[in-house]
Amino acid sequence: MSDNDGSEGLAIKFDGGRAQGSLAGDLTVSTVDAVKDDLFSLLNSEDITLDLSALEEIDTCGLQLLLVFQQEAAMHKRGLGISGVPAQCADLVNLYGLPGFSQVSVQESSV
Amino acid sequence: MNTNSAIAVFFEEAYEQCAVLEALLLELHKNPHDDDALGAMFRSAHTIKGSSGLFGFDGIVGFTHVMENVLDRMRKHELGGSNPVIELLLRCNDYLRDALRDSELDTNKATEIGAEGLALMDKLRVYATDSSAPPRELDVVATGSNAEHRTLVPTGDGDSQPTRSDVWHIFLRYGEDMFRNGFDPSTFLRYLERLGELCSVHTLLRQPDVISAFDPTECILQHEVALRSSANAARLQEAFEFIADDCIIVLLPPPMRRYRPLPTWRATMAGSRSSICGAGSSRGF
Repeated sequence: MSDNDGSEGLAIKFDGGRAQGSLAGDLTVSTVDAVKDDLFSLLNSEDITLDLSALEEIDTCGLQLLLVFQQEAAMHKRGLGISGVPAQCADLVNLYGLPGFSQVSVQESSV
Repeated sequence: MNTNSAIAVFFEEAYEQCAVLEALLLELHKNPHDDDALGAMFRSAHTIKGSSGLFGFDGIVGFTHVMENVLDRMRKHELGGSNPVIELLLRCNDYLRDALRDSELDTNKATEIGAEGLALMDKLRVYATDSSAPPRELDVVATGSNAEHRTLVPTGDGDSQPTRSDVWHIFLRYGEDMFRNGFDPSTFLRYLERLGELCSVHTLLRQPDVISAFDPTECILQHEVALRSSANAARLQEAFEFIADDCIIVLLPPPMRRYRPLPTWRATMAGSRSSICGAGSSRGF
């Protein structure tokens, strides 16, 4: 199980002007609806970090939500760092040829 | 849907990419060092080039190739986003949109570049890769007596276009209910992996216009896949039999990549919203 007390969904903390989101549990077709609005509320901050390390399960639908979020952040000129990409997510990212998904977490996988 | 529908989707999305590119170019006036915008601009041109290549629209491919080259240099900071470059790229984007419109009316036009396009390409090349670089993958050759229109002929190894004769190009536009129906595109790509080697996978996302109205369970992804495989069309189609009803799937064997309305192409799922389009015959090339 996760190291996040088994909590699900998105937890948000604010540190100065920075919004820190942390996704836990599943990000799949069954859960994206519940997460979406909170996730996009992060775009109210200029500077955003998103930690995926407590994700237990992600499918392509979940990844798609993150990609939309990422593009939306770019469009609104938000600083976005994605970290803690779990292996399952990294596998999908590699399969889909999305090398720019999380430059921030590259050091973990030492590509 | 049939191949013509797939082409209609191509044009629809190429116009969208043009709009994205234009908006980003206009933004770049304000902030020439915006790395995200520079990356997104490159991807827009790359996407148009990639999907044009899939249909053999070599004129569009050749033109966007030079745009892509300049945008690539900009995103790598080899070339600054000065006003003359941005102005030129905006004009190129206008031309591209016109060329797409002409090509939509007559797909033969998509294999050509008009005089205006060639003049713009010459201007672009001033900013493109310097002359010490390897020769271009596309050569311009004159056809017709007045040479006002010229045809682009792929002559070399494109970096993104494997030339081995057993590479299939597969265009997958998933239906919006894909996820809700319990399917995951990764399943199909992994299946293809078992039939050969995935040379490249290019993921495209139709960014929603209004985020608040976006239903995250709707599939807005599509894939362009180059697969090196000795499998025949029927074998490849099997990979998609469960989703064929809702998806646009185009299978192009390499010798047939130049789009023609071949009589051997057929819809395998008559009456459904979509179909698998592919070479009806096995590859005898």
